[in-house]
Amino acid sequence: MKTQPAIVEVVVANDTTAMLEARIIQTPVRQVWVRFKKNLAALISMGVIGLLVIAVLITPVLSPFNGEDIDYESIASEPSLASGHVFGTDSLGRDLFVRTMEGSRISLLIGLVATVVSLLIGVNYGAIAGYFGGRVDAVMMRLVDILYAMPFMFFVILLMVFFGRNIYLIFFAIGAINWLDIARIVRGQTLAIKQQAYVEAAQIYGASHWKIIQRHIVPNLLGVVAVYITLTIPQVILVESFLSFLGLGIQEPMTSLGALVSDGANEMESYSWMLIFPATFLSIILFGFNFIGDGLRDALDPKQVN
Amino acid sequence: MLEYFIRRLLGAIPTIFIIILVSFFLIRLAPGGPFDFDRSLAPEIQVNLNAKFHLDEPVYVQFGYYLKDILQGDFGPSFQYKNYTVTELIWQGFPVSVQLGLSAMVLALFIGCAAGMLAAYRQNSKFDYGVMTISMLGISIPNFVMAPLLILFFSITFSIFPAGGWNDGAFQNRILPIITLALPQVAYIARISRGSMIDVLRNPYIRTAFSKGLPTFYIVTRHALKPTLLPVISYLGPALAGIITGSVVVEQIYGIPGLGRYFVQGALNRDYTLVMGVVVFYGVFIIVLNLFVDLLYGWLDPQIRVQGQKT
Amino acid sequence: MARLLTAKNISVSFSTESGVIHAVKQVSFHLVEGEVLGVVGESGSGKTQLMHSLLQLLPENATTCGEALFAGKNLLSLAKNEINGFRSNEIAMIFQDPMSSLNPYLRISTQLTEALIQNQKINKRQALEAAIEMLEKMRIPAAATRIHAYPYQFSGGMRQRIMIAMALLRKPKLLIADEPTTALDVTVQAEILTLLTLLRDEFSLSIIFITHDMSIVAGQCDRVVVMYAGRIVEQAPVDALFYEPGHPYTQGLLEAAKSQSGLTDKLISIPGHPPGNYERLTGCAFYPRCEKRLEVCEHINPVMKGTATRQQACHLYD
Repeated sequence: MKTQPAIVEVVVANDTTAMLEARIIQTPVRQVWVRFKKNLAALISMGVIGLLVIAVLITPVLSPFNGEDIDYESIASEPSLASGHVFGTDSLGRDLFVRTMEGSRISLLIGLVATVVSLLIGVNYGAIAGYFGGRVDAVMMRLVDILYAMPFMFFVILLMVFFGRNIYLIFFAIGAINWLDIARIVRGQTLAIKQQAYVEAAQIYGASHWKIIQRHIVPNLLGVVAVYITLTIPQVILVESFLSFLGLGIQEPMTSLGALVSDGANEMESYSWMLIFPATFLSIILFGFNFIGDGLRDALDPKQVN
Repeated sequence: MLEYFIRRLLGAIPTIFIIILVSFFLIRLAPGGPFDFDRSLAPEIQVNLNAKFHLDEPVYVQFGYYLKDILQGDFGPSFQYKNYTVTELIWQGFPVSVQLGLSAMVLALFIGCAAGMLAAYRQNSKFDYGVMTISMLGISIPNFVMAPLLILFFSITFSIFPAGGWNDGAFQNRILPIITLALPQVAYIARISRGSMIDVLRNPYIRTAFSKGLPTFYIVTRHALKPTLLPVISYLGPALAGIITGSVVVEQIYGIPGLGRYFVQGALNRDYTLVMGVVVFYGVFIIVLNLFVDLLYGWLDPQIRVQGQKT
Repeated sequence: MARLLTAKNISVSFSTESGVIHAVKQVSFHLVEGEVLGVVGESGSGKTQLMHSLLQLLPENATTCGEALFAGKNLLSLAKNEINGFRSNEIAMIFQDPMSSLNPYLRISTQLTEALIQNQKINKRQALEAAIEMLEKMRIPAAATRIHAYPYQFSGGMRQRIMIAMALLRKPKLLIADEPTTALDVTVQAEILTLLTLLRDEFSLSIIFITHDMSIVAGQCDRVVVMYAGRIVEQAPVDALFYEPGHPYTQGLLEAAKSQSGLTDKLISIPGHPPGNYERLTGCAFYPRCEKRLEVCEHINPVMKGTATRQQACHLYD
């Protein structure tokens, strides 16, 4: 039997009646997609991000230039179709379009990997806390509460200073920032599901823990995890850009959008395009994922406010 | 209420302890850091170091000395600025950051709450969609993108405000940095207060208030306001962390001599003690402030105020 | 006696994402001064929405048509400030769940006196005195000190008394009680009902009593209106209704109530369930569940017919 994402749908007969019917409804993915499609911003964002990803992957096809070659004839030159430098060049004479695409690629990559890292940490942490409950849960959640108010950025910068700007460290450090939310959600879901009658029934019938988790807990989490991923990617990209902007992130010759914005900001008085292109791409990526995430969240639970 | 406060206080102490503990070990482990003794040192220097950092004693004793120093506010000497201690630098930069951060927080609260609550009251109107979209922008556009754009517009193209510098806190110099700092928080607070007010207005007790013929304005301010603000107050802790984080970039871009900028300079120049000191300082600061926020929340909720916890 | 409230052809519908819900369909009834009118029906019958429409308490997505004449004005078409006058001084409502109907963040004293202060322009001290007096009438001990407490510090029964006090302080002519005892224990229920009977005499109230509990109807009401699927299917004086119920639905309700009180051998209920919100209906809404149905019932919706004192909407009486 196909496991379909189950979503609790709260049906309110009318707003002035105090009676609510909560039903666990097996909402097929199709219905979620239909609701998602109604959100114009989310739909457009999906298209835009999709195009961007394709552009990033086929950059060599789109432009004859290389991100490292210096074009001595056009140093810090404006965007022009004639010279072939569609976005212009930077202060060293490197084609800005290719640099922007590369920066986007690195930013998206870090976004993805760090998100996966934080997902792994958060889901396991939350599942353990929820599954064992009691004392263990109380202690683990207290830790989450405490960590919630900490400015993680500072710790990440600390790590960068102390242990160098290693890209793997960047993946891990940034990933370790964002796991609190998903840990809380997973823990909540695990607790709720643990108490459901059908899990008890399954346990009585001798189903193994693993089977229970697979069949009951995981399908309920899929929707939430999908929303989380789409909303965490921009946060992670933001952190990485922040670091790179300050000069603490990616090392040359690799570049990310944050570093490009930083360089561009330095030159913006005279060569504003060096700022505008990377800034626009960064903003588009961030909006896009945020709109998609919002749209996904609304599509999964339309009655939820905000 | 007292019981609530004490419980929160007791929760805060181990956190502070852990921060100090982690910082102690990080400093010692950092490759190339002050405790990296790869290169063999001249014996006199080694003796001096041993004396100062008690290196010949067991680790937990070293930690004890470290703890004592920190609790007395001694973070050690700066590696970068040879004539200054970290404490002195913190004391120079912190007041500036506080002024900016506080102004940004207050601004964000006022504008955010007003916009959010108005949007909730006129749910699904054009104003509501406008608020939600603009707040999405505020959340998505990073401050290091916003700041240069603001400077480009307000300083370079139209010379309304100076492009940077602190100028001893002159008013024009404060505007752009405060706005840049406040923007993302305005966005978050608008969303939170909007969602909160929508939830509150759905409650049966609001219907009861209407059924008594009370004027709408009265109902919004007297019945709906307090429950609406509670989630906003809960958000103050993370909001503060966000402003502190944001100050790092904002002070850097606008050239403001605050603690954030010292921190960045320290990071770029590998000033281990400074960086460490700022992290510990801000960490403790945030924890203490969160304690106050918790207290405020507890005071506002009648169940917590009277009997110490929610039934 | 004069008619206090005359409702003509009231319809309430809600526009939702999934379609239009017709909660109340062409309902007409009246209330005589001084009487207690019972409104009976299952959940989903529209009784609550009907009452809420009288005071314009329905949410934004509701559309109301029809007329509700009270003191010469149509309540359904009044402007905001006019309806507020009626809400404050003429018609008071008490709700089903006293815990969620009181603001947990405000003291009881505030909630009791605010309408008096805001609308009736009574000064704070006098309003507070009146409130304490009313609480004492409600048999709430140590009223003078406890009035400054918060709702969570009271039990369910006491909260309902506070709601009643809140309503009566405004000296309304009409009290609409929406299932006031449903959320309470049986013993507490009895106390509240006794209280209401006493107060009704003392304050010369007219009461509309919404309930799904037939025993309450028998004990409290003078006349009864039975609703099903958004329409009124029977109106009768209480004795007539109980001894000679006209509509098959009413008969079913009474049988079920009797069986619940242990007066029959087995537990009886009406088979089937009320129509869902979005179902379109032709003919009598009760048709699928009616034991006495005729062919005509499937296609034609019966209208209310009868005498001046009692009517029912059923083809059996055509």
